[in-house]
Parts: sequence; structure tokens; C-alpha cells
Amino acid sequence: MDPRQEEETNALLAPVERWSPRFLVFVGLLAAVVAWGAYAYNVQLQQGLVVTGMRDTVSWGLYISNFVFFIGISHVGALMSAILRLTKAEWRRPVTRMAEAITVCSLFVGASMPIIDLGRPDRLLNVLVYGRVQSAILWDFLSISTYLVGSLLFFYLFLIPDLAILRERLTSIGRFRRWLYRKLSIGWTGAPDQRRRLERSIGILTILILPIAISVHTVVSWIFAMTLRVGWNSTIFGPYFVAGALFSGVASVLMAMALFTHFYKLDRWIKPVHFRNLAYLLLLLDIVYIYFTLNEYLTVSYKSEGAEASLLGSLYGGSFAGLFWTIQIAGLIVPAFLLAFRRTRTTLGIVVAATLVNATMWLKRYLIVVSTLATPQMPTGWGSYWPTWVEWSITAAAFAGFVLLFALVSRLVPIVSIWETQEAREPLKGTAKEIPAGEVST
Amino acid sequence: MRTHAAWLVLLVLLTSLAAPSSPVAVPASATHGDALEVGFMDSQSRVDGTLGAGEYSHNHTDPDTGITIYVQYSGNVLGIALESPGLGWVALSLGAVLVGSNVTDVLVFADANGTLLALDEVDHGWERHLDVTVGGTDDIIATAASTTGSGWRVEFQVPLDSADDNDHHFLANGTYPFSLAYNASSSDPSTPDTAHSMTDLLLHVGPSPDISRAERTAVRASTQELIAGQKGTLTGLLKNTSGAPIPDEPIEFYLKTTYGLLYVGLGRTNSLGKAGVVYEPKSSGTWTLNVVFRGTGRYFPSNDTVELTILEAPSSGGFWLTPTLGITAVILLVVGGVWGSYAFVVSQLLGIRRAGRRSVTRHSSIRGEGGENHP
Repeated sequence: MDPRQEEETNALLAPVERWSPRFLVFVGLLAAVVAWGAYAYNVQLQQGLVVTGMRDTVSWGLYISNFVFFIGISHVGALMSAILRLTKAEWRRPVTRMAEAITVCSLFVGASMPIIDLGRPDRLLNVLVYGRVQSAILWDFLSISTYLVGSLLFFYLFLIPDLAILRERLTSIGRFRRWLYRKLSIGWTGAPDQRRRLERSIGILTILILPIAISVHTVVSWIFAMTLRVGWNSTIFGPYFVAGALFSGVASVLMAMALFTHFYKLDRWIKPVHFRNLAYLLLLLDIVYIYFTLNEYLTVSYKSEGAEASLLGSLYGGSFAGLFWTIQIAGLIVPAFLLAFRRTRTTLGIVVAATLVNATMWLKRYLIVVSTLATPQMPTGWGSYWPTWVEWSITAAAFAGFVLLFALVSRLVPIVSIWETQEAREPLKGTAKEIPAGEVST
Repeated sequence: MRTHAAWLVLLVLLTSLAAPSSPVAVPASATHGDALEVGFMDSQSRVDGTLGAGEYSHNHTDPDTGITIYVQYSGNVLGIALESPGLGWVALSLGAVLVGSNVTDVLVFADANGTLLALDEVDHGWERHLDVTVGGTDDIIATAASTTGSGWRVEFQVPLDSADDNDHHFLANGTYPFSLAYNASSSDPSTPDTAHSMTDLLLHVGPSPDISRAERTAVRASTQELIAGQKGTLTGLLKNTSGAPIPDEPIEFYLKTTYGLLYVGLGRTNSLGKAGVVYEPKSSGTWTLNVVFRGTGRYFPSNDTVELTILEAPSSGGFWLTPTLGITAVILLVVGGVWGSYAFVVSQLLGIRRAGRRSVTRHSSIRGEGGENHP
């Protein structure tokens, strides 16, 4: 291995090898928030969903908003990584591992949300035992479990060569981690037969994961769109949700890149060009999302049919107007301006735009879920919903759990793929032979 | 939200007019003042949207709203007709569901583009709920409507004393307040009213007859073999205990389902005491058919149940792919294909592990030592 490569490998292995006290404190804080959420969930289990703000009219709230949000950002790993690999975008190499890790971590957190939303989680299996094939809930269960397994495999395949490096290089770590790397690296030596099998598997999953990821968020949107509820009864919810998922997913990768570059000193691999290229992608998705938003609201507003008009009134100038306009302005318009102009398209500007996008996309999911349910279907008046401390605690634990999982992943495996960044240099390498000193022409 | 607030104001007004509404027991011999008398009749009202001669015992036109209300009762059934001067929704508030409470029973009717909307609701003073959403039942037995010049008429029946805690319980010889409201043009019940009762209206349920004169009855349910997706007939036979058929009485048909009793329809007995409804079941299975005769002043109520088997529709022999089968096939193909691909990837991973072991074995045999993996 050439000295530069050796030095780069060591730099990428450093955060994995040594867990600093600062990191352990950070993990402890996150674990405390998760523990508080677990306590709140225990209260909910003991006393039932009455401890939440959900009632018979607004029967979905923060949990389902979180579910849609986390499943949304989970798309980025699969879609971004797969698309950039298929299009052979070489700049992808330092960022794909991050995106794939976001997918796995957010899927675990997102998939747990509907279970938390169940008053009786022990009845979860009833979805399979008594599920009807015509039910969008059953489709959702199938698609999310399929996507979770696919994403884990996708994440794992790209880890195998790096796990072998960890197995060989990290000898001073604890026994458990040595055992873990030995088992997970499944005897990888880089032999031709192994390479052939790995490449074949990666090829299959890179293509397969795209339709799976798209179908998952489409099916999530059908949970809403298959109903006749105002605000949900839409034919464009599938692509609208997929676009929104990618939008918030790319914003998440940008935020993660900024944090890792700062704390893990990854400037050598993650450069302004990576921020810039992803900023273009974010801008494109912003424009696509604005297009879908206009299409959705303009057509419904133009018709202003009975109950739809009532919902739109509450969004444009009623009780949900603050949320609605915050999302449009802070989540779509401001980021578009920040990303469109060269002066503001700096790393800081891009990260600010990404943060705004993620915050408002979470609000958007909340708005989609709650405003429709609050709209009266019968002459019974508007429903009301405000989350209780139990829901806020579990939501905080969900976000803390996501960050905790992500942080642990980044300390268990290199957050920038070692073998992929090295592989990028392979075509540049030629064969070199030392010339005896006496034969060197002057 | 503005219309919502206006409707709440209306409800507060209706509620304030209707409550307190503890039944005022008035001796049968006492006069009832301005109270609208609900007289006992031998047969129930015919809920067909029209007013037959002698169908109702009394009526009253509310000067504040212009709504005319027709009333009668027979057995445990209160028959009411409302004639609204407008074409929009019309509502009747029937007073407190519990003595001394401000929770009132509200019935709202509207003609929504040809579909008659009948809502059995309970008003808590600050918000209204459908009875069925607060653990109660929809107790409007039957409804029918027709237009009347510039307005419309709705006829309906409710139990005098239903088992639902969200309903008002009427007793014979009781006097109860009620109020009326309507909208001139909008069938959306969340829109504000055009007019509502400004004074307390009173309704007095007349004395019931000597029930010792009433005859006991027996209703028998029967069905023909039903096939999913095809029309069949559910029948009920009403006779007195001596076996004589009882004509011209309403028989209700219900199916017991997971979600409670499903109202199927109402038939009226012919000269042979036989009533029937045409029913087209959507799915196969075995259900319990419940046939109910609610009784009148002349007859005691009776009911009967029978097991109803609905068979699968026979295959047409041509196009066998039903939508459910189609969805199942697509799901199985797609999910099966994806999981099959996963299985293939896992088999490749196992191949990688085998290749790694072979490599280690070769490496070890060359070096003459065993065990540890090396790249």
C-alpha cells in the first residue's frame, strides 16, 4: 500500500479505533433522551392511548407524522446511492456510505412509529394473521419490511471489504468488536471469486433497491390517498411523497456531511464540490416539490368543493395557516433562493437550506396528517389535537435514537468507504518499476 | 371555521331552549296547556314522505320558524314528520338525555343531492357527536322525504325509549321541551340556521292504552338460499298466538355483524302476515338474521333470529381473475420476486464465505498452520 493510501486509511479508521470521552458523553446524553422516551412509552402502554392527544376525530398525530418523515429520509440511501452508482458519478464515493447509514437508521426508527401508535402493540401480528389483501396497511407492512431487509443488505454489501480491513487493522480494540468484524467480514480476502460474487450482488441490489424504495413511499402515501378524506383524496400523492422523501433525504445527507466534516475532520474526502453537487440536486428536488405543491393545491382550490374548501380555508387563513405558510416560505422558497444564487450557495448557505428543508418537511408531514383529520366529515365540528408530553417525549426519543444509531454506526465502521475511495484511484495507477540510479538520465 | 362557530352558536341556542328538560309528569286528566300532544295510535306512521289521512294524531306550526311538526306514537315508536319552509337542513332538538343535564338529543335531516341525510346526534353544549361515535347507536328507525312546494317534508321514526344513553327517553304522560331550526337553502348541516325556535316548545306524550287488551305476537324469520352478488328475499311472518296473520304492520330486518346490527330494510306485512325485503349480499358467509316487530298499541312486540347462509357466487367459467385474486397475484409475484432476489444475494454472501474459508485453508496448508483468516 502506498504511503498516502496508508495514511488515508489510518485517518478514516481513527474514529472507529478510538471512542473519545466526548463521544461517550454525547452517546450518554442521547441514550438518556431515549430512556426518557421509553419511560413515556411505558406510561402509554400502562394507561393506553388516552395519555396522548389523539382522540376519535384526530386519531393520528405525531407518531404517524414521524413515521412518514423517517421513512421519507430513508429513501436517500437507496435512491441517491443507487442512482449515483448507476450513473457512475465518481464524486459519490465519500458520501454514499453516509446516505446508506441514514437509510438503515431512519428505517428502524420510522418502522417503530406505527407500532408505538398502536394502543395494543401485542396485536401487531394481527396485521398479518387477519390482514386483508385489499388493505393498504398490509401493503405498507410488506413494503416496509421488504425495504428494511433490502436496505440492510445494500448497506452490508458495501461494508464487507471495509469490515475485512477493520478485522485486520484494528487489533487493539475490545474482544467483542474483534469478534463482530471477524464474523461480519465473512472471510473476505478480495479473492477473484469473492469479488465476482460481491459485484454480482451489488449489481442486483443497486437495480432492485430503486423500485423498492419508490414503491415504499408510494405505498406510504396510499395509506392516505386510498381514503376519501379531504386533503388526502389525491392521485398525485405517490410521486408527491416520493419527491418529498428524496427532498428531505438529500437535505439529511447534507446535514450529516457538514457534521461529520466538522467533527471527524473529513475535509480531505468531503469537499465543497460534494456540497455543491448535492446542493444542485436539492435545488432540483425543491423545484419539483414546488411544482407538485402548486399542482396539488391549485387544482383543489380552483374547484373548492365543499369540505375541501373548508380545509383549504383553514390552511390559507385559518388555524393551520401559520404552519402552512411557514412550510411554503421557509421550506421551499427560502432554500430555493439560497441554493440558486452563487453568492449564497456556500457550504454554510447550503447547510442552512438543508436544515430549513428538513425542519419544514417534518412540519409538512404533521400538517398532512392532522389538518385533514381535524376537518369535519360530519356536522360534528372541527377536531382538535395537541400532542401531550408523552408524544413529545417519544418524538424526542425517536430523533435522539436516530442520531444515536447513526453516531454508533459511524464509530463501528468508517463513515467514508475506504475501499471505494481507494478503488477510485485504481484506473490512475500504472505499473512502475524502479530504475537503477546509474541508469537515470539527467 | 366561521361557519363552524355559527353552528356552535346555534347549538348553544338550541341547547338553552331544550334544557333543562327533565320530564314533567302531568296527570292524564290534567290539561297540557300549549304542549303539543303526541297521541297514541293503533298503528305506526307510514314512513313514505307523504301524510296520510289520520296518520298523525296532532300537529303544530312553530311561528318562529314556520316549521310544521306532526306527531304520533304507537307501541314504543315515536313517529314524526317535519315540514320545513326551506330546502336546506332541518333539525329537531329533543331535550336532555338525562334529567338535569345539558346534554341534548339532536336529530338533523338534510337532502344532500338526492341522498337523505339523517343524523342521530348528541349535543354536549360545546360540541356535537354522532351517537355512534360516542358509544351509542343510530336510533333513527326509518326516514323518507318529499318536496312540498317551496319546502320539503321529512318523516321519520325513533324509539320512545331507546336503550341508547345518548337519546332522550320519553315516557307516557310526560311533558318535554323541544325546539326546531332549519336552513332555507343549504343542506350542509354545519351552515348556520335561517331561523330557530325562540320560545320553549312543549311536547306531551299522551297516555298509553290499557295494554291488557294488546295481543301477543310471534314473528318468524325465513330466507331463501342467498348467493353473494345476487338478489334474494328475506321474509318475516307475523301472526298472533292463535295463528292468525297480522296484516299491515312493519317488520324490520337486521344482520348481526362484527360491528353490531346492520339494518337491512323494512317490510310491511301483507294479508297473510308476510313481509319481505330484497337483499343483495356482497360476500359469502354465515350470518344471523334478526327480524323485529316493534309492536303497536294493539300488539306486543316480538322478534326472531335465523341463521343465514350466503353462498359463493358460482364461477362464470370465463374470466376467473377477480380483483382480489389479481391484487394477491401481483403482491405475490412482486414480493416473491424481490425476496427471491434477496435469497440469491444471501446465497452469494454464503459463497463469499466459502471462498474465504477455502482461501484460508490453502493459505494455512502452504504455511503449515491453521485457523486465522488472512486477506
